[in-house]
Amino acid sequence: MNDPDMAARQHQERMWVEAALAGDERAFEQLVAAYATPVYNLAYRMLGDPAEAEDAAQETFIRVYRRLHTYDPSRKFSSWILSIASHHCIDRLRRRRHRHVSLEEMPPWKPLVSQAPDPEERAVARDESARLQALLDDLPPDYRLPLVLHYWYGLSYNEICEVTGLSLSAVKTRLHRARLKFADIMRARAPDLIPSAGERRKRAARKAPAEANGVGRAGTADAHRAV
Amino acid sequence: MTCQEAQEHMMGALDGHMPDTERLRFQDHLQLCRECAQTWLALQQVDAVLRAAPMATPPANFARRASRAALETGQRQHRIVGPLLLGVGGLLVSLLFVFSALLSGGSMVAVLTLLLFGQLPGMTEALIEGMWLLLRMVWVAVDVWRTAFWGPLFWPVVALVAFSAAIWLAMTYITLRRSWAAATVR
Repeated sequence: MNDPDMAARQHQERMWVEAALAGDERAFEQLVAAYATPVYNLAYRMLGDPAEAEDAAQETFIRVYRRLHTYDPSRKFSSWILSIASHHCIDRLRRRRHRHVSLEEMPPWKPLVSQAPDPEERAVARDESARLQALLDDLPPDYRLPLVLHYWYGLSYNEICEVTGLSLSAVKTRLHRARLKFADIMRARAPDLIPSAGERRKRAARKAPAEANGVGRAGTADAHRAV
Repeated sequence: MTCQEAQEHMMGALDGHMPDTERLRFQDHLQLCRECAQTWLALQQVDAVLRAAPMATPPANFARRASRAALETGQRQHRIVGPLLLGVGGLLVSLLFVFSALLSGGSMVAVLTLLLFGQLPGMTEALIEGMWLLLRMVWVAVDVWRTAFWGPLFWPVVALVAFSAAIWLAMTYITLRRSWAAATVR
């Protein structure tokens, strides 16, 4: 992690929160712009449907706005907002289960906008991403959440505890089981997604610098640069 | 190292929490145990695939729409809180009023008389009379409350009033929530 960058960002967020609380709408808009991608991605990874993810992300920001006065500045803003988004998604999944909507009945995948550089590679990445999401949807939501928070947001076990409200041992167990189960699902349904040893090394090398951006990988960093 | 221990170490190994001393023992175990080696390979594959997974990005104008929706809901909430408090206050006062009138018996007539005063020939007298009655009513109400406080019916009635007020509040809240939800779906 790049500490001066992180500190500067947290300081900036704290300023936005204070300004938004004082009634500055522009500051709130900047907060939303900075977190649109991380919140949307979490909703998409948890719910699996772009339209519902958009809806859930919007609802998250409405809740954030309403509860902004309850935010404790000693906590990380990213943990706070991801916690609101996670709980909202879990609520939605519970409601969905009550309505007896199965995964098969859900709307078809819309392609993702990927960050791959050239069109050909992008098309492959998009297809892979949608397939990956289909596999992720097969995990129980309780397992999916720690996995998403760990891989897409680079959160440590303790940070996952803070976001989900689970105990450390519960987070470790769920993350471990999620990985094992995901391995089973991948082997059964998408063996071609499994990378070769060489590719694995290449991917690990490529991903390492991106994670230095902190929360939300490249997404938040881009948003912050844009503001 | 047992298989159980090796399984437990896999998490730490993936997330970089494994002490070097354990790492050697772990690797030794993987050399010997085919099953654990396979699990370890599968976990590394999962790790690589998920690490490479991209961030899903929302539509281009999403941030703008989301912040506007949040700001609008906030404003709507402000517009609603005032009338809501006024409504609750009004409800409680009227419940108190009706309760006192019912208990005081005689002053119930006064309430009815008040409704008639516009039709009487002498408006001023009626107005004064009405005001007087109202004043008496308040006095009677205070008196009723004072005496009723010690009566056996007081607390059951208060509980009933509180209960109905709570039901009324809950229903108002549910209705408002629905209209908020409807407003955010666009």
